[in-house]
Amino acid sequence: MKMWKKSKKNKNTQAAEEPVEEEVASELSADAETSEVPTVQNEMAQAETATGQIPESEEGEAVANEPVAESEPASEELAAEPEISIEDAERVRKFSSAISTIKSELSKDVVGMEEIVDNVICAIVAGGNVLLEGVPGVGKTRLVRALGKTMSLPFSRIQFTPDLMPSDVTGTNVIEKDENGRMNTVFQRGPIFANLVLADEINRATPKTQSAMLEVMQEHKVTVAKQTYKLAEPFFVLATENPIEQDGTYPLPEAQMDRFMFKLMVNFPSTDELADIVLMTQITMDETAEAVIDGPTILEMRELAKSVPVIKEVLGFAVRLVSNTHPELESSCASAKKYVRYGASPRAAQALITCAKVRALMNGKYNVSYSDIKALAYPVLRHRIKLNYAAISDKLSVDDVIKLIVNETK
Amino acid sequence: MDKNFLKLKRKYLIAALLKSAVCALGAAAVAFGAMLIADKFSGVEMLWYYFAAAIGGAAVIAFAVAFVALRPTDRKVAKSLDEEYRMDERARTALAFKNESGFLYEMQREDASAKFADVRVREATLSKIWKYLVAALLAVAVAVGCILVPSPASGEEPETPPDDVVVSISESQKIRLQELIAEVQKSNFADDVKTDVTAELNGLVDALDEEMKFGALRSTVINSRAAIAEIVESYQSYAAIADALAASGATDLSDAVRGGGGAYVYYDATEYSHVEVFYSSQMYAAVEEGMAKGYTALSDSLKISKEEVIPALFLLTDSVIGGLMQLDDSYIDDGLYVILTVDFGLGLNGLISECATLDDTATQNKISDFLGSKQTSISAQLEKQTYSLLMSRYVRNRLALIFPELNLALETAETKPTEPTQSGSDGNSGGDDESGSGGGGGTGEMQYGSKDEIYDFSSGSYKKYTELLGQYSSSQESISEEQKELIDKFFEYLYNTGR
Repeated sequence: MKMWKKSKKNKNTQAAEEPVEEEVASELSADAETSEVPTVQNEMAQAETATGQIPESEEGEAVANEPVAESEPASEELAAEPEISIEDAERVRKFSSAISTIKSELSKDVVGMEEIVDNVICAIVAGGNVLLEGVPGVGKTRLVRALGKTMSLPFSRIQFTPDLMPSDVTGTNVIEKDENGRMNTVFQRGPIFANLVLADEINRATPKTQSAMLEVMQEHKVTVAKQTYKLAEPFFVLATENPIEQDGTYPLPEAQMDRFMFKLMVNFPSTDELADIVLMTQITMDETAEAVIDGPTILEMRELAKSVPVIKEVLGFAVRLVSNTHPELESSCASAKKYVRYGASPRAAQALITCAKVRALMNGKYNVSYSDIKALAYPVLRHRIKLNYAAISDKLSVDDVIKLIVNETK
Repeated sequence: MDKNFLKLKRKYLIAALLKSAVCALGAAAVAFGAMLIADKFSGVEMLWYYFAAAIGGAAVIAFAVAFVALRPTDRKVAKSLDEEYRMDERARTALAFKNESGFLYEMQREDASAKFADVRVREATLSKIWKYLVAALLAVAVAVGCILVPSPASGEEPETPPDDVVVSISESQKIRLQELIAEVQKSNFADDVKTDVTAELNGLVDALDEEMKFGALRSTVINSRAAIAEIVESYQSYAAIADALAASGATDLSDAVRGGGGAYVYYDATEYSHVEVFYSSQMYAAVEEGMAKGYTALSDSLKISKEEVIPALFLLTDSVIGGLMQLDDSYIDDGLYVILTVDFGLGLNGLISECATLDDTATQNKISDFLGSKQTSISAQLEKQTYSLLMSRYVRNRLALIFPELNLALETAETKPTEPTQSGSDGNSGGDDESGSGGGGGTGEMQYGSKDEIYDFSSGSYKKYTELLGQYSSSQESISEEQKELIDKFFEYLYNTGR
């Protein structure tokens, strides 16, 4: 029984890849050299303020780069009916090269944090939001800024303070006098109207302001005075939390926590990393990363990742893993029953599979495996599980409990 | 890559076949041990083909079940590939989506194939077979252990529990009793005997409780055995003989004899015992020999008239045949007795009348023909008698074997006797039954009745045969050498001719 079908056109596909690669590489480098950056990005970068307000743009959407020119079929055979077309192969190759390019660019500004960088890229490609938790000065904001630059995405930063109002985030209607002297009501967009939003110290904002982020993060739209404004795609929120200063903070509610695809712990850098940081920042504190991809490319990557196959055994494992976090279920594992107070929502299962597909592609695979699910269990589940007193008394962290649950899930 | 996959699948298949064969071996060993235990303890004889069927069946079923469970499917092979060679679910994904179109599926398949091409398929698929081998060896060890378990029937006799110990009747014993009843019903016992023996066995079945005291069980079975012996030995009771006599028109044979002028049988219900009748029947053989010499010559030698020859000869045989029986310790049941005496006598009585007007040669021929026909019925009845005795013994021995805990002695081998080939006279009619198949071998040994009890008409009870013989032999006249010689030839004729 022939299990796998060989592609008949492999040779031709491989033959066509070399010139296409060069073409893509040349286009990417051309983009980097020219100043033809999207108009909105320039404006936004210049108009960045403490409140993160950005000038109004006509459409509020990022102008996409010109798509990469598609290569001509190398032969008539390919043009006829290729099993793996050049375009398809190119999409996959583009994905891999984009990831590696992003990483290499980010490494110019961010020292260490390879795993954090991988997970953030994974979440962005998957279309999710990320919560970064770490002590001050570990590079959370720098990472997000560098990401914004690398991805050519309009970036805005919102510094959450206790006095920040929801309208400060979403925008508000203001009365303006037009050139004819008439008074008109104009919607002044808030800093949320960007592709990449850094919500700094989100736990310092009041619950009212935090809830304003809910609709934005989940539905990518803003409703003000019964008027709905759709946000540009791709849209990401990268929020940060300071675990030290808990006085005067408002812990994020579970509903909002659930909107974050990942929660990543940014740890203090190692000695060597710290030394590299110091050396690097002695030269310049500015981010030197350059744009290497754009929003449409990210959207393409996202679409591509959706097609990654996952077998039902792996899917079942992910589902069982999330179910096992619920102590009230009879089928859940012993550790969950002992240490967990509340389990993860169904969004966790969705996030696991979606991100696992992206992760597989990032690692050069074309299928989701158990190792992908197990690796993503921690960022997906750590902010969705509430531990009980038994875990605290046993001095178990949420990651420890997740590890137990993963081991007990068959 | 496909070649590698098929190669791996082949390896798994060989491993599955080997493991299944080992499972079959273990199952066969367990079946063998179970059959051995059943053979030793159930009381049911396990014939060789039972063993063959059980062992073969267990092996086949175990092989089939093991192979179905262990056989390598594509899915199992793919799973094994992923797990053993760390393919990160590439193989299973490629298999699950093998029919999907779409470039990512294609690329995934190619990626899996490329990864698998780098894999060196090793012999790991034959691992864990040693566990099956150990299990099979354990099963063989159990089977060997079953061989060594001593059978309860071998070696020393089982200990007899005390009488007041409660014992239970097993289902096997009940089944075997029913089988014995069925055998009796199919046997060639005479109808009366069959009915009575069957009733006795059914009574035994009814008398047995699920649990009863050992002493009660023992006495019940012993009584049944004795009753069965009594039924057979009292076959053709005195009443039946009397009926035969009545049918002949004589109230007692002595009158008929005396009235007819030929004292061919002495039979007096009040005075003569069974034994004496036997003695009388010795006369019959002498008649033929006598006739061989010539009717006139015999009358001259016996110094009696020709008319008295036959009766005299009968008297002679009557007087000596009992002694002869005593000499060879023979047993004659009622059926044979009636043929030897009543039937023979009545027939001979008629013959005397018929021959009165015939000359010597014609008389001689008539008597010879008559004796020849009687020999047939005597032989048939002898066979029947022998069969009855042997069958009775067989039934009693089977009862002893069904209840081995009672330690009842077996009289002889428990072999069931061969059915008698001649239907012949069953002795009940008492008439001149000359039918018969003519000859036909008997079953063999005559059972000596030296310790058997026979019916004593004088006392109306059963007494030991030897005791009665002792009483009457002294009252008999001594026989001459010539008479002895005649009698010898009579018996020789009876037992040897036609076998």
